[in-house]
Amino acid sequence: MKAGDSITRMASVGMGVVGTVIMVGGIAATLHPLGMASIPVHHLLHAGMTLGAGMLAIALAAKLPSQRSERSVWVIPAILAPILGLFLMWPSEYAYLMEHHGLHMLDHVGIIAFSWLAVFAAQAYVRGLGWPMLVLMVSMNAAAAGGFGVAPGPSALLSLPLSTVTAEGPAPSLHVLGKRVAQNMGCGACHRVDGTRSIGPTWRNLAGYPQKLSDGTTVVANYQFLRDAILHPELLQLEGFPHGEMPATYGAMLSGPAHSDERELNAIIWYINSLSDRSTPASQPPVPDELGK
Amino acid sequence: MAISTNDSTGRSVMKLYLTSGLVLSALMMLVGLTMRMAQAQWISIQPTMFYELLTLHGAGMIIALVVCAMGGLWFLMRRRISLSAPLAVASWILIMLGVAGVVISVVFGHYAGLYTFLYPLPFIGSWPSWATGVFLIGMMLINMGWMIWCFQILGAVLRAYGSLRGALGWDFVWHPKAFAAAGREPPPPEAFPALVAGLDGLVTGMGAMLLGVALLVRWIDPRVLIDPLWAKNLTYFYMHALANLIIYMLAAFIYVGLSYATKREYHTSRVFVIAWWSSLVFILTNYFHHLYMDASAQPRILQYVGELSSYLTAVPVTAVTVFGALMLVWRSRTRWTLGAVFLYSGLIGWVVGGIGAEIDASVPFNLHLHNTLWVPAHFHTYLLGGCLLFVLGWVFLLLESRSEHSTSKLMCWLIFTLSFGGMVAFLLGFYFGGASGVPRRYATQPLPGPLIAQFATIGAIIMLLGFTLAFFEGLRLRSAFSADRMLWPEDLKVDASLPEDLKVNIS
Repeated sequence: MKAGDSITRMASVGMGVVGTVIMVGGIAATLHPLGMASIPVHHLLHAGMTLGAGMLAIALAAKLPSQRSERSVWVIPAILAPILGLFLMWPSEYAYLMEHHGLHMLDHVGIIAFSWLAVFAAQAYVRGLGWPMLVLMVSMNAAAAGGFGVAPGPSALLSLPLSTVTAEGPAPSLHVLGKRVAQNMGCGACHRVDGTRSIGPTWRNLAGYPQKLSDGTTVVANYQFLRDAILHPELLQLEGFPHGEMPATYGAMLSGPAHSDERELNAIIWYINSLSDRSTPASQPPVPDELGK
Repeated sequence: MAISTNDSTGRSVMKLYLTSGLVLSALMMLVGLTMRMAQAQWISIQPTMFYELLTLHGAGMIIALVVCAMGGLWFLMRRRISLSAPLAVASWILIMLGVAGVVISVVFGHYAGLYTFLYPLPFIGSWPSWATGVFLIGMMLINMGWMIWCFQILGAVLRAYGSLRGALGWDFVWHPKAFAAAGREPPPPEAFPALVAGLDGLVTGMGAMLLGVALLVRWIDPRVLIDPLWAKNLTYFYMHALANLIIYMLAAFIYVGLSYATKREYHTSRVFVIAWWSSLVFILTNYFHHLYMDASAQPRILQYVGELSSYLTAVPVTAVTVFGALMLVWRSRTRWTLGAVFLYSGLIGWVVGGIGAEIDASVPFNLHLHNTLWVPAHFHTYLLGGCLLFVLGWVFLLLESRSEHSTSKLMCWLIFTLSFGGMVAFLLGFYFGGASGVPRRYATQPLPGPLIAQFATIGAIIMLLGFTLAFFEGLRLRSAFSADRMLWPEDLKVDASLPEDLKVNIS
């Protein structure tokens, strides 16, 4: 019995030590962000930190007195802590955090604290529940790497500074970005890119081409036209297409205070331009300052 | 914590859950009737309103039945080990706040992103952004309440049976002789639904938490994009498991309720335990059959896993439960009260809905059926013809056990004929529609959709008439209260190793 106790204690101490080492590693990694350039890698690092924090929590919870009844109050932190931890994994802020090491470190300390609390609270509520909580927390953070803040494709283009995705010059990389934004926003549900008509006009040979409006006038699809068509579809009615089908919500999603640089909007317009054989500077968005320099 | 004789606190908590769940079900059935009448072209509603009602009906109905199952299973587990009533009430409050959020977003915000809230749909509709936010927050609150309940139930089975190994009945299956020689008893049948709901509910609830936070972040900061396929996987991982778990949780009513009606005991056997293990594992992967049509992006291996899991989740546990139920009734002196009739007929809904689900889960059929009314056909059979009847059966058994009145044979026959007969007509409408290729989730259906909807609507009205009669009969039984009586033997086995303060006084 004593030997068994010793082994259990050693296992607890060992787990606590390993967990602490992983946690410290996770915090130290904020000083060397080179290896965390993409959002999925960042999420995976968080999963590793969660593992460390959870192991430490289980080791510390071993000191709690044995009890077969519920400690009900611990359920609240066990449920809330994972949610709060997830909010600290805000993908669009990673680019900013990678340039601000102090804040980044604080962010990682927060993630560790909430992970620790979730597992400790589960174990404190009923002994044995800490283990599934640990596995679930790590799995959840690792699963985030699969799609939270990541457009379909190889990397998290959207949250990185544009300068990091411009190896091929502005237009090619921006239209790739635009294609992914369009995929994510579901534009393809109404706009085809193969030249066939759908609920909305095809994007093939749209930019730079004349468009007939329902009032009989004809306008060329220049940058301003494309911009207005996306942000204020209620103001434009193309002949032969039903009015009011295009949601008016893209304005808030692509422009306004939260998107003052209109980067995603312009990326979509770059993409539309890339599909046209009459794309001209008049139909293209302005080149971003950081690329123009 | 000592629990008083007859556990009035536990009963009150169960009543809270059952009452709120049934009231919500009734309201959602009226919403469903409105939609079917619109498809039948008997009333005219705007398509936008149809999708709002569809959102409300789908989310509301699943939550209503989950709430009923939660209350009943919680009460059944509390017979075995003490469970905090305030915690169960806290869980209920969170869920009701979430329901309020969903209702507000749909009724006042005209949110119509459907109950599956598949990304990016919640963000590209014509409703205001706040409605999306309120809907998502509502769903998060519901998930939090659900997870509290899962924590409590999983904790209960761990405490009651010592460990996960004990709760799983591991030694009972693999070392039966040593197990019997040690004088040990396997967990009772209702402990397995509790384990599956607690553990799988926690696993999938955690996935929903990730999805919920991702969507909320996306709502606050539209720069954050989400992989739609990733979101779809998480959505179905959660919602499909939740819909499945309802009937597995309600199977506990069969194990306890039919035992009471037939005066026989439902035993835990090795086959029974293994069948529940199968559900425990494969309920987490069977949702892949909802993503067959994403074949171009979804890894192919997951398609195979989806088909196999669909069979392994449902077939073993349905087979043992239904076979056990048949054996309980066979040559027993069952009193066919309304409660027993509802419970027993619910088995038909479970089996038929399950077969419909397996057909849809088979790739060659799925290709033709998945986007048709066949899908609502199978889950309406399963949820309405199975789950709701189990809940009604349980409620009537409780009412009958404590009432001085009893239901006359004529009334019993009338209620059953109207509700079950109407239900069959209503469900056949979905099946015929699906087989004819009528698309699902369409406000306006192509022919023969409207004709079939007219037939189905008549069935729905007859069914609701039967449920209305059942409601008044329930009130009559309730008005003649004599005394609370147990639905289980007085010598209910409680783990002898438990401290006295954890045991329930069932005398």
